[in-house]
Amino acid sequence: MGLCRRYARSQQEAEDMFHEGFIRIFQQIHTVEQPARLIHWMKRVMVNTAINWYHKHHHEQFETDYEEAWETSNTDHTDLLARISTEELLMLVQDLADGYRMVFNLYVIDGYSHLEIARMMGISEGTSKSQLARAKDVLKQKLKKMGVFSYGHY
Amino acid sequence: MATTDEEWERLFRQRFENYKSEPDEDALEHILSHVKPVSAGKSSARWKKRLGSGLVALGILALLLFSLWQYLLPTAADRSKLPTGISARSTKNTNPAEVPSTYRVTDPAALTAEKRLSRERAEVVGEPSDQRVAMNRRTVLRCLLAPEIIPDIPAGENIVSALSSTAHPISEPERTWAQPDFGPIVARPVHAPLLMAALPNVRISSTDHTPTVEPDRPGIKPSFFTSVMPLYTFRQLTPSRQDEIVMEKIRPATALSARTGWRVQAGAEWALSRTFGLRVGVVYQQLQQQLTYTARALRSDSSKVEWIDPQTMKVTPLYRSQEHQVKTTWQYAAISAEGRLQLNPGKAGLRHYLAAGGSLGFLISGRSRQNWQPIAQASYGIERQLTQQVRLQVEPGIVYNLRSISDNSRCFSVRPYSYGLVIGLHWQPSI
Repeated sequence: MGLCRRYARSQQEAEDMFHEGFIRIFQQIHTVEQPARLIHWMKRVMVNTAINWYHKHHHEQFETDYEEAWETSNTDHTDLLARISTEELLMLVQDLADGYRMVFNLYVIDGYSHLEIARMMGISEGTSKSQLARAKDVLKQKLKKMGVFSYGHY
Repeated sequence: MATTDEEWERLFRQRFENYKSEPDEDALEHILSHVKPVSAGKSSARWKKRLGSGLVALGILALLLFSLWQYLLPTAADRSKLPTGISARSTKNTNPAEVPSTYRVTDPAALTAEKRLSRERAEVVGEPSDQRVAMNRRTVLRCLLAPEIIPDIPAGENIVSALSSTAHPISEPERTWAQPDFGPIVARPVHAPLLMAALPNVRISSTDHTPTVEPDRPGIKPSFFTSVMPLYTFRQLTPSRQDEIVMEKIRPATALSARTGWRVQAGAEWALSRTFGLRVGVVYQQLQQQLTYTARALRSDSSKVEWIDPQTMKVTPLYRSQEHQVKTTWQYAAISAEGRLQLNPGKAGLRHYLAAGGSLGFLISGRSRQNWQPIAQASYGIERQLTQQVRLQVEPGIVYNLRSISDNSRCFSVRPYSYGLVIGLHWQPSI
C-alpha cells in the first residue's frame, strides 16, 4: 500500500490502485515460478499497475528537452532535504505532477534506469531524465519553502 | 549534510524504501469480489478456445464422413442393383465366332441368375415394344417399392430395351475363360430409375454387339497420394509479458538452416465431381525456430563499491544483460482434409488445381502445453501424367498455424506460417 501511495495522487487513488494491483496478483499468481521471489514479483506487479494507471487516467506528457531541464535542475540546491516526517515527504511527492511523480518514484525510490523507465512509460530516455530533473527541482523548491534547509549528519 | 544529487536521492530512497501504509478495512473483500468474475472470464475464454478447436475437429470429421459417404454410395447402389439403361444385346450375331470378344464370369450363381434372366428377357423381347416399355416401368417401380427383392437381378439386365428387335431371338454370349477383354462400353449405367421410367424409348445404337461387363464399382474410386513439402518458416513473435524479465534485442535467426522444416503427407483422394475432389490424409510436420534476445534481471549480479568519505560508502548495483539463444523444434502428427478444385478438368497435359483445407495436429515434441494445433493450408498445384496410373504433383503452398504456441523458453508466443513446395505422387489404381 505504501508503494501505491507514492505513485498515486491521493489516498483514494492509492486504494483503487492497490485493489487493481492485487486483483492482478491473484489472477497471475499461478505464473510465479520462483516462490522465493514472490515479494519482488508482487512489487513489480504493483509498479506495473501504477504505470498502467498513469497511462489510463493521467497520461500528461511533459516532453521537455533534457539539456534545458538539466540547466533548470542545476540551480541552487545546496540544502536539499529536511528532517520532516515521511508522511510530509509523501505529501510533497504526491503533489508533484503525474509525469514527474512517476519518473521520480521509478528512478529514485525503485531504482529503475532511465532506459527502463522510457520503455515502460512509452517516453524517450531524454524525457525521463528531464522529468526527473524537474521533479527533483520542484521538490527542492518545496523543501526550501518549508524553511528547512539542512538534512545531514548530526 | 547532503551535498550531491546521489546523496539526496539516497536519503529519499531510505525514507520510502520500507514505507508501509495500511489499506482500508474492506480492501480484501473488494479485491476478492473482483477476482472471481475475472477468473470466470478466463474460464469462458478457455471454453471458447476449446469450442474453436472442437469446431475445427468437427469440420474435419464432417469432411471425412462426407467422403466416406460419397465412397460408399455407389457401392450401395451396386448392392441393390439399381436398374440401368443398358439395352439387351442384339440378337443378330448368333454365331459365337462372330462375337468380337468374350467376357469372364467367375460366379456360378451369377451365371445361373443371368441365364434365367436372359430367358425371361428373350420371352419379353418377342412382345411388342409398348409392352416391353411397360415392363421396364414395372421393373423400375418394383425397384422403388421393394428394393430388397432386386439383389437377385444382375445389374444392367433387368430392363429390356424397347429397341431390341423382335425378329431375332436372343442368343447368349459365349462364356469362356479366355483373357478378359471387356471391350468398349456401349452405354453408361444411369442411376436414375425415375428418369429412365419416364423415358418412353431409349435409343441406343444397335450396331455394336460387343458384350460388355460392368465394372465392379462404377462409382467413386479413391486414388492415393503421397507428398513431401520442404518449408521455409516465418512467424509472428510476441514476447510473453513477464514482470521480472525485460527482453531486448529480439532477433529471429535468418539463416536457412534455422527456418526450414518439412511436411510429409499421405492419404487418399475421392473425386466427388468432375472438378471437385476431397483428399484426406495423415501428416507429419516439423517446424523450427531460433532466436536470440538479451535479458536483464532486475536483481543485480554484482555491485560497485566506492568510498565517498571515511563514513560513507557508495554501493552501485551493476546489471549485466545476457544474450540468450532459444531453439525450438515442433513436431506434429496430424490428420488433414482438403478440398481440391480442378481448374481445367478433362484437358490433357498439365492439370491445374487449387487445394485448401485444414489439419488438426497433435504436438509430439516441444515443451508447450498446447498439444492440439489447428493448421490451415492452401496451395496451387500442377499435375503431370507420368504413367497411365501415376501423376506427379507440384504445389507451391502455405501452411498457417491458427493458434500461437510458446517456445522452449516460454518467453515468446510464436505463430508460425510457412511457405513450401509440395512435391508428390498421385496414384490412380486401375478399375
